[in-house]
Amino acid sequence: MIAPSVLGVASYWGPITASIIMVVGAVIAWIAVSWSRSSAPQDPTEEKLATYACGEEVKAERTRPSDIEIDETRPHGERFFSPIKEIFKGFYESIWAGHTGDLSTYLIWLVFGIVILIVLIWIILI
Amino acid sequence: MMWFAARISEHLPIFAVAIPLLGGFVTPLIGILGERWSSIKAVDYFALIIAVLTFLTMIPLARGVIGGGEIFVYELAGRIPPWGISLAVDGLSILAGLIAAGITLAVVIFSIGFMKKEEGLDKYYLLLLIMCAGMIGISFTADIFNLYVFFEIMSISSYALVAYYRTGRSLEGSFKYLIMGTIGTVSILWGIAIVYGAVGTLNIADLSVRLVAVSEIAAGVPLSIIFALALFVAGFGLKIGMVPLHAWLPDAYQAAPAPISAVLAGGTTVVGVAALLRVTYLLFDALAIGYMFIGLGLITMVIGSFIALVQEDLKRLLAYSGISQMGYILLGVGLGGLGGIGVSEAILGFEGGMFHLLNNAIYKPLLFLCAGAVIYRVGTSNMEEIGGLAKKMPVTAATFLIGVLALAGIPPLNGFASKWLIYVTGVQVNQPILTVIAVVVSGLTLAYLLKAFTMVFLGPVPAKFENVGKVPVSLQIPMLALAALCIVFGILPGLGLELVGPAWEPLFDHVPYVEAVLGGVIP
Amino acid sequence: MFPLHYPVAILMFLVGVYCLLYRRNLIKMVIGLVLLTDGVHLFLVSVGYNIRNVENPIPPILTERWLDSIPEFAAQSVDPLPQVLVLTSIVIDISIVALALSLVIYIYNKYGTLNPHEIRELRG
Repeated sequence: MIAPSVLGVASYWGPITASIIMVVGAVIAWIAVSWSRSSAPQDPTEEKLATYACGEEVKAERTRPSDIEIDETRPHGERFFSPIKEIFKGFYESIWAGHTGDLSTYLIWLVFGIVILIVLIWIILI
Repeated sequence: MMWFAARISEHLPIFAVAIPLLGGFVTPLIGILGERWSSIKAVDYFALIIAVLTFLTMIPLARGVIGGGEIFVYELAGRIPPWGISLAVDGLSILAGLIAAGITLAVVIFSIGFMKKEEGLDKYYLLLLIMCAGMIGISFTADIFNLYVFFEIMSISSYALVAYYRTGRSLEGSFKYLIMGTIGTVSILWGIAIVYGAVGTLNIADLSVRLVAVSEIAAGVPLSIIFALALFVAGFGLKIGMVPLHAWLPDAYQAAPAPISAVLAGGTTVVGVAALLRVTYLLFDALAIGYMFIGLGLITMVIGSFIALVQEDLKRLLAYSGISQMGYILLGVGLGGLGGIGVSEAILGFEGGMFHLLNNAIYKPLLFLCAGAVIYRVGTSNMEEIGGLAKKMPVTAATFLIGVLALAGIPPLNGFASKWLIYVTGVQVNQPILTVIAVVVSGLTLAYLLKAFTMVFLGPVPAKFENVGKVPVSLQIPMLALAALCIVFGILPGLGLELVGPAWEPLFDHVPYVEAVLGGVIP
Repeated sequence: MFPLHYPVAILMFLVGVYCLLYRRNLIKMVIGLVLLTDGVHLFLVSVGYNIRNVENPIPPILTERWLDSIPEFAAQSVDPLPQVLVLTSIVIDISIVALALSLVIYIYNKYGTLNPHEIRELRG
């Protein structure tokens, strides 16, 4: 793509270029998020949520987030985790699942790690 | 007064180790006397005085080493090297010692408020101060078996501190840490045994001179020396969280009290990296190991940040993030070891790695202390259950945000300066793949940290946390101080590079260090 | 017989590692830890024994017989420095084992089992 020397990586223009790229990237990300929000289904307004109570004023009770399981009012939780786990399924099912909490598994990794270190250092120094 | 100051300044290196050690042992006595005679918590303030005194002993040493470029050598009991134990304070030592003393001071101030309701506080401060003595001892010593003893002192105190709340999880985390940590330190002891058998001395400077002779006689590096080097790298690598030796780290950091996680993340990893560099680059003169550090650093970075993306517990997420940042440091240090490519790139990479070490030791304890402040008020660290705390705890939210931006590498905070140096070095050695991977991991870091921030501090507040108030002052002081340091090192990165600059000198050019420690005595 | 010190020390280390990896009981794991560390201590003492390249080295105790010929005594005795190092290390390992065993007692009170497969609340 763009050669690093054009971006001025190694001179004093480098950090300035990086800041400009970060700001442009943040603007693009904000445009994308606000476009997706405007094209998503809208939340119902206060009037629509009000219950009919024969002329009396009844406030709409909003269920607390800790009461319901999958939570659409908070922009995180399952909606953040599941796409990541789908995309990188190979990694998560092999390496993350390997962190089972079992001490013996961790110790086997330790032994293999020491053996790999010995082999690597032998290759480098000979 | 001047006579007194002159006498103390001769013995400053040993005071830096002895004050926290003796102060720690006196702490339970002060606790008993304080309970009997008055009602104030005397242990808190005594530990604070000892921590402040330890930090004050570092300042004249720092001024001498960084400002003047001297190496302070202190021979214990006046025995000449290499038959006696010496303490040698050079650039690498004073960097690690300053960070250890500073983080201990911040954690003691934090613990005064955080641990107010706990029992057995005198033993807590005892273990914390002994851990500080161990960390400073590792960075200052010039004798390899002394390094092993101080390493064990630091490790055993941390095993006991991780299990401080005697809940099931704390005990489990502490036991895993104990078993794996002991295998690491036993590897170091085996390495010492092999090296002693080959050469016959225990002084680091003397060993570095004689091991070169051994490999010259044997026409190539003998297999036992390679095995010893691998054992040392395994032992120190386990402490700093190098993959695949990292598995104890998330469990121990999650189970420990938050200030202890902060001192483990900021203190023991820094000291572990300093000891690793001193042993591999100075003792064995094995700068070519840089290739292995680069590879392991990349793997560590990637695995740490990918697993941190799907964590639900705040402290566990920060622990995996710490593993990922250690990958950056190994990448920078590994690039620094490749002196054959062109010495200026090596120095740049090394400075990037060491500056990132300093920055990591500032913003990682900051994030753990903020997590501790949240736990102090809310009682849980599971991010799914908490939310919307920004209005209730504004200081915590602001300092957490500064820590998040610093870790992710946003200008003008300090993380950007050190990561920039590592990116530039990757391009200059004609391996842009390193820079690309580092940048991608940096983006992932920003993603999971922002997720953590929004889950904890933004959004609606759950019903049971309506009455959460601000944290007390003693918790706010260290958070504000560390956040201020983040901003200062970000706006003036030259200040940080000046602190870090003398650290690479003894590793590339052994002669000043060897001459200073051996004092012209070449047996 | 060829010197058996180093192979036996390495064998002790490997048996300790086997105990840590494949035994499903916390106390057996602590025993494995002790075997592992004692293997390395035996290795270190053997280094002192073999470092002099003498047939049968004598213990490093200066008696009246050797008072006049101290250089020969130094050339024929075992190196005492590794023995001192091992003493220090044994003391360190005693404190580690004491801490480990007290942790095992607490874990048994909290979890009711000593099987590390079942003590797995921290995972992921």
